[in-house]
Order: sequence, then C-alpha cells, then structure tokens
Amino acid sequence: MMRPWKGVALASPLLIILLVIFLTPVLIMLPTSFHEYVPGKGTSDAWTLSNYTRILTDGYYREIVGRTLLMGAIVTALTFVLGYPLALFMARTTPFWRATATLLVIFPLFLNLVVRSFGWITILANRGIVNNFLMDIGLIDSPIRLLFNLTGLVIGLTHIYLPFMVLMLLSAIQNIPRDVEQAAATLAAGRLRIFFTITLPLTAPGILAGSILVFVLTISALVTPRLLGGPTYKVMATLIYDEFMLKLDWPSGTSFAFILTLITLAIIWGAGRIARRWSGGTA
Amino acid sequence: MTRPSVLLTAFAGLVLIFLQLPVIVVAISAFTETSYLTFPPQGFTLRWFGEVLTDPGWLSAIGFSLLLAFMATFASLVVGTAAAYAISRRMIPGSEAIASFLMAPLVFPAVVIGVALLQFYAVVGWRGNFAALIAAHVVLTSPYVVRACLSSLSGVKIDLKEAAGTLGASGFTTFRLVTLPLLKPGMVAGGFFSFITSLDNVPVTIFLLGPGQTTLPVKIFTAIDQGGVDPGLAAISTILILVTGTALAIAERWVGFSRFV
Amino acid sequence: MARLELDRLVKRFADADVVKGVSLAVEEGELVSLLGPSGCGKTTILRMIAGLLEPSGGAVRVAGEDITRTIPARRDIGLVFQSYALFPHMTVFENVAFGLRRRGVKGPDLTRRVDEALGMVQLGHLGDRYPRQMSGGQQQRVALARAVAPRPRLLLFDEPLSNLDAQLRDQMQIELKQMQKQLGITSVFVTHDQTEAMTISDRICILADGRIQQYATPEEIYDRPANGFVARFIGRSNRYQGRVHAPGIVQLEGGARLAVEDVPAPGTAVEIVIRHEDAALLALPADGGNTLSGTIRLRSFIGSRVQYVLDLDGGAEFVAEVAASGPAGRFGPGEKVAVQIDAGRAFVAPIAAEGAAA
Repeated sequence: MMRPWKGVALASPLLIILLVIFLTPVLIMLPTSFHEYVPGKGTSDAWTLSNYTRILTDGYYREIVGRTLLMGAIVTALTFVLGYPLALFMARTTPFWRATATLLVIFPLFLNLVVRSFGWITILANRGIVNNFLMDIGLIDSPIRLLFNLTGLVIGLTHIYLPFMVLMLLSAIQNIPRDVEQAAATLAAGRLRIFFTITLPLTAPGILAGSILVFVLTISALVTPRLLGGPTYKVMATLIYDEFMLKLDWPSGTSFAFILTLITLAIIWGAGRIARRWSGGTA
Repeated sequence: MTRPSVLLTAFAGLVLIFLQLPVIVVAISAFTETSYLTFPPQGFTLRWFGEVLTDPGWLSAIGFSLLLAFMATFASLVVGTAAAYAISRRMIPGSEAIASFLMAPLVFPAVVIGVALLQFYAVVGWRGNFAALIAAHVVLTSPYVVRACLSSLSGVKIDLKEAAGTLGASGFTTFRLVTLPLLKPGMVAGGFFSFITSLDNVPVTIFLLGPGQTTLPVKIFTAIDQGGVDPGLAAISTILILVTGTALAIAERWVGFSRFV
Repeated sequence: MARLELDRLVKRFADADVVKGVSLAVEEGELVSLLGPSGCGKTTILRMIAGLLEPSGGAVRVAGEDITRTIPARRDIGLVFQSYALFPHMTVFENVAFGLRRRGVKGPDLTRRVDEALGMVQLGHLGDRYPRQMSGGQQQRVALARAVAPRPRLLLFDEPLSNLDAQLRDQMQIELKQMQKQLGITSVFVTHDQTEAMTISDRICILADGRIQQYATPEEIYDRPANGFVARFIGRSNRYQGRVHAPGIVQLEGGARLAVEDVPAPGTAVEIVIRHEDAALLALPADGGNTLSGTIRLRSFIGSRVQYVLDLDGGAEFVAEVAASGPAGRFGPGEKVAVQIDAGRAFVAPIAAEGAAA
C-alpha cells in the first residue's frame, strides 16, 4: 500500500511553498545579520559580528530583550491563573454551558487583533473608561498611566492569548479519566486535596504546552505592543519593525529577528524534552 | 462528578466577561454622536457607519482584504488538504517530521516571517506582487487547514475504505463517496480558520504591501499608530465584529467546528 | 452461489510466515468457521479471500475461477467487519444501498432490495437513521444487511459478534445462521470463540500457527480431536503427563493407571487429556474399574450442572462437571470419591511428536 510517488505528489505543492516562501527567506536573513549597516547607503559588503555583540553589550538593547522576556513570563502566568479556573469550570459544567463558554472563548480569538487592541486603548487611555470611572468615584485625582508601559501591554496581551491557554487546559482536564478523581474521593480526600494532588499534576503536560504557546506568541507579538506601547515603549518585535521600516537598518533588524527566533526555538525544544521525559522517558 | 462550586462559577463568569470587554466597548462607542471617542457614548447615531462605508479608502481596503483572504484560503485548501491526505495515509516517509514542518508557521514569530519575506521579496522583486502576497498568506493559513483535515481524516478508518472496496467501489469512487464527505467538516473548519487568519494578519502583510496597496487591518493599524482613535475606527471595527460573530455562528452550526480548535 | 477453494495459501510478512500453506474447500451454501487462538492466521486468511491482502503464494478460487489477484471490488463478496465499518455520513438506507448502487441497481428496484435486506435483519423501519443514532446490536444488523443486500457469491465474517454483549451475541448467532441458510450463500466466519463456531458452523476449520489442525463438523471435532492441540483447545479439560504402560493402558505421573482406547506404542511419553464433563463421580466404594480416587476441595453450582475441584490421591488436581440432578451432584467438600474415566473419551497424544502445534 506504500506508494511514495503519489504521497510526494500530493504533499509537494505545500512543501515547495513552505521551502520557497518560508524556509529560504529565513535562512537568507542569516548572512545579512553579519553585515554592517552604513547610514544612508544601506548594507555594506564587510562582515561583522557587531550586530550581535551590540545586543549583548548595549544597555538599551539588553533592556528591550529583558523586558520582552519579563512580559512573556508575566502574561503566561496571568493567562494560567485566569485560564485554569475557567477551563475547570468548562470541564465540569453542563454541556449547554460548556458549549456557550467555548463560543465566548473562541469569539475574541477570531476577532481582529487590531480591533481588540483598539478596544483596550479605549478602556485604558488617560481619558478612558477605567480612569474616568476612578476619577468619578473620587479614588484618584489625575489619571493613572495604563498605556505605553508594561501594565498596558500585559493587560492587552493577556486578553489576546488567554483563549489559547483555556483551550489547551480544557482538553488536558477533559483527558483525565474521571474514575481517578473518584478513586481519590473514595480514599477520603477532600476537594482541594484532590485538586492539588490529582487534577493539577495530571494536567501538567497541558499546562506546559499552553504556557509555551502563550510565552512564544507573547514575545513575538507585534500589533498589540505597538498599539498599546506606542512608538517609544519597545519590545523585540516592535524594535525589529522599527529597524526595518523606519531606520532601514536591515542587518540590525535581522540579528534581532534571529535572536527572537533562537529564543523561540530553544523554548519549544526544551519543552519538548521535558514533555518526553514526563511521558515515560522513552525515545 | 461534582458540579463547579459557586466560587468557581463566579470566577469563570468574570473571566468570560473580561474576554468580551474590549469587543463590547468598541461596539458601543461606535454609536456616539461626538466626533471623538468617548465611553459611555453620548447620544446615538449611525453616522460613523455611513461615513466609513462610503469612504473609497476603506471600501478598497475591505475589497482588497476579502480578495486576498479568499485567494489565500482557496490555495491553502487545495495544497493543505492534499498534504494532509498524504500524511494521514503515511504515503511518504517521515510523515511525522513533515507534519511538524507544515505546522511550524503556527509558532514561528510572525514578525520574523514578515521581515524575512520583506528582504526576500525585495531581492527577487516580488514586493507589491499580489500573487506573492497570497503565497505569504498561504504560509500562515495552510497549517490550520492541515491540522483540521488531519483531525477529520483520523476518522476515516481504513476499514471504511475496505468496506467500500468489498461492496464494489473502485478507488476513485471510494474517495468521492467515503473519504471526501468525511473530510468536509475539516475542510470547512480549516477554511474558516484560514480566512480569518488571512483577514486578521498585520505582522507579515505590513512588510509586503506595495505603494497604494492596503488591507483593512493594516489600514486600521496605521490609522491608530499615526493618528490615534476616532469613532470611524470604532464603526469599522464594529462591522468586523458583526461579520466575525456571524461567520462563527454559521460555521459552528454547519460543522460544529469548535471541536477543531 | 459458488464453491470456495483455497489452494496452498501462504502469507509471509517481513518477519514471519503467518499462513503456511492452507488448502481448504467450502462447498456451495456451506458455512465454515475459521477457529483458533489469536495469531493463528485466521483473519489473514479471510483478508486474502476478500482481496484486502495479497497472498505470498497459492491461489483463491471461487466457482473454479482464480481470483487470487482480483481487486476486492470485482470479487462479488460481502464482508462483515468486527468494527461494523458503517459509513457514518450515510443513512442506514444509503449504507445498505451502497453495494447495490455499485452494481447498477436503481429506482424502485433499489428501494425494494434495500427494504428487503433491512427486513431480513428486522430494521425495516429505521432506514433514515444514521449509524451513530443506533445501538451496537442494531449497527451490527445494518452491517449484515449491507453485506447481503447485493446477494454476493461469498459472505465473509470477521469476528462480527465479538463487540456485542453475551445475550445479544447468542441471539445474533441463531439469526445469522438462519439467514445464511435461507440465502444459501457460501460463507466463511472467523472467530476465536469455540461455542460460537460450534453454534453456527456446518464445518469448523481449526487453525494454529498458520496451519490447519483439523477441518471437520463440530461433532467430529468435539468427539474425535485430530491431535493434542485440538483436544486441548476444544472444551475445557484436565491435562496430565504420563507414559504408555502397555497396549491400551497409560500410567499417569502420580502412578495411577488408566485404560484408554487408541494409544501409541508402550514406552511413549504422552499427554492425557480428559474433559471436565467426561468423568463420572462415584461414592466409595465404587463398582467398576478405570477409576482414580480423590477428595473434593470445592463445589460450585452452575445451574443444571455442578462443578467440583478435586485433589487426586497422587497430588494432582482434577476438575469434573456432572449433572446437578444425579446422585453425583450432591457431594460436599471433604468427601472422598472415585473418578471414573470413560476409556473412549480420554484423549492421548505423544508429547514429542506435536511440538509444532503445542
């Protein structure tokens, strides 16, 4: 039944598209990142490591990398804290409420990213809903700054990636055999104890997968950080955007793109190793 | 099993409200009579909807986005379904590795794909080329088609095809009458994801547009980035919310597609 | 209707021979079971008859025509799968109509023949349901109707009843046999359940390790097993090592001697197989010879019969099943009894000579 030629014929159109329009362009960036940028003239022919050494030595760039990773960690933690109870509720409630909640979780996922960021600007701006409300009830005298800083980015990105986390956690919770928890209950374990000794550990692979996904998507997000962070409060993705679109410094931009890619791949690879060890250490 | 406690239910409800919050705010503020965005809106008017829907700039951006999304989805369905079929039947060596490669664009930083293609298209002279833009979107949208089709195909067990064969169906008839109908829900769901993803994309598209070209999300993005917010943006966003919500409801009813997420 | 012939059929997979030269004829209208433990090659043989596997050697002939290399679609067969393999996106009617449509049946003729097939399995009223809306038993009936609707030359069954619960399975065995007799279609039925094979078959082909061990009617197989494997496999039995002492006499390892018909030459090491139901229990002192003595350890009442577990005086264990209504049904634990063996129903096989089938 093995007919390799037929399989290759079926798979090759997409494979060729990915090779030409995805893999090749990414690899072509590599040499660019080792060239020097000459203002006004573009990429020079001389080879250099300075694009990479600058990221490590220059405090400004280091801060942006650190900020990006910190933002990723905070957003991941928040989506977990908000998402786990919701996923648990969805797994335990009636089919009707589960379906309803699923649609409510998916709907923002499909809504345009720009529109969602726009919504948060309306809510978080100096004259936005939150500040107006706090000033109306007299809690504060002048607006507190919720945009163009870490707070705004974290709120916006948590909102955007929460659905991914919830869906991952939901499938992990639904995969726990029901009788395991019932067995724990017959052994006179209380609800909280069952949760912390049975449910939570058994969903660890789902938690890991969801966290990796959210972290990776957060650190490479462009639209939301740009709109909620403005042109000055930068993260890696917006920095890459500016290097290419405003400064036209492609060597610097590509080196950042590679650092971001390496971080992403390293995290996915590391998570894969941990997941394999959990699933029994074989292979 | 124990039902969720009151505390858990209340918390889940709050999180669900949090998820809808920006959507509700945008939709409501689009009806304000003021020329600046304010919440709660003052008065009620449909003026901003009228304005964006008669503005040639917005209309051409909408048209361009829809055409791009349609073409990218069509192409993704053709190449993605074929690839998923080959992988699910293990017709090629290394199916697992190939599947991972096909899924890679889902987790690969989109902005990196964007700048990589910017440089590549600049070198080969494809920047502003519509077909090249479609190809770039296929890279982003095909993983959704492949994933949904693989999930559907896992339901087409080998014994169904054997049963069709023993009942007298040829290979092609079996494909037409058994495999294809069972593949349909996956293709519908994958096509839906694909369309939304293409319609939503900024981080790749923005680097590849030529002079005079713009998509709807890029136009909104640029407008906010450069000029800030106004009720016209809220109106166009509300239209997107309505379109997405309707499409989601239809797709859910048609193939129960939330199981493919 | 047709006679099926398998001629020295061989199936070799990368690492092992699964079917090692099986020749077998199924007469027109006959129902034959392929029975054996898992891994004996029975499903592989069925799949080669269906054309879903290509034989490594040998031939499959139906009505004298060689179909060894014919694709399944051209074989004019009906196959009932263990998993039912109903098309989930089609109604019951469309499932049953599938094979008929492929043979060009349409219009009122199609409707009539689908209804007829569904009527045969008592599902005439459920044509517009979908498979997922039906119980396992109903799905099994649809699968059956789908296979027989085109009236194929050959019906093949791949453990079709193994997913049903016991009561439903018994009922379906009877229905299936009735239907097969009524239609008169030559049939091959794969199963690992000997009671099922006994119930439905005209003849049973017992397989082990890719070879035929015995091919005969259920009665013959039960009464005259061809070798040690068949004797052990059919029914439940007590098994002892021993040696032929003299013509017609075997000596068990514990020292006791029994008269047995049909034994090898004196001195041969043998295995003695005695079925649970083939021993009589007598109160002591017992009349008549050919007895072993033992003490009852356990008594279980199983409806019309009683099962005893005894410790024989030599130390071995013996399980006996006797009619609950007779005097032997009333022994209690701890009682000493005589176990009388029918010389004609104990089976003796040389140990060395049957290495392959063991």
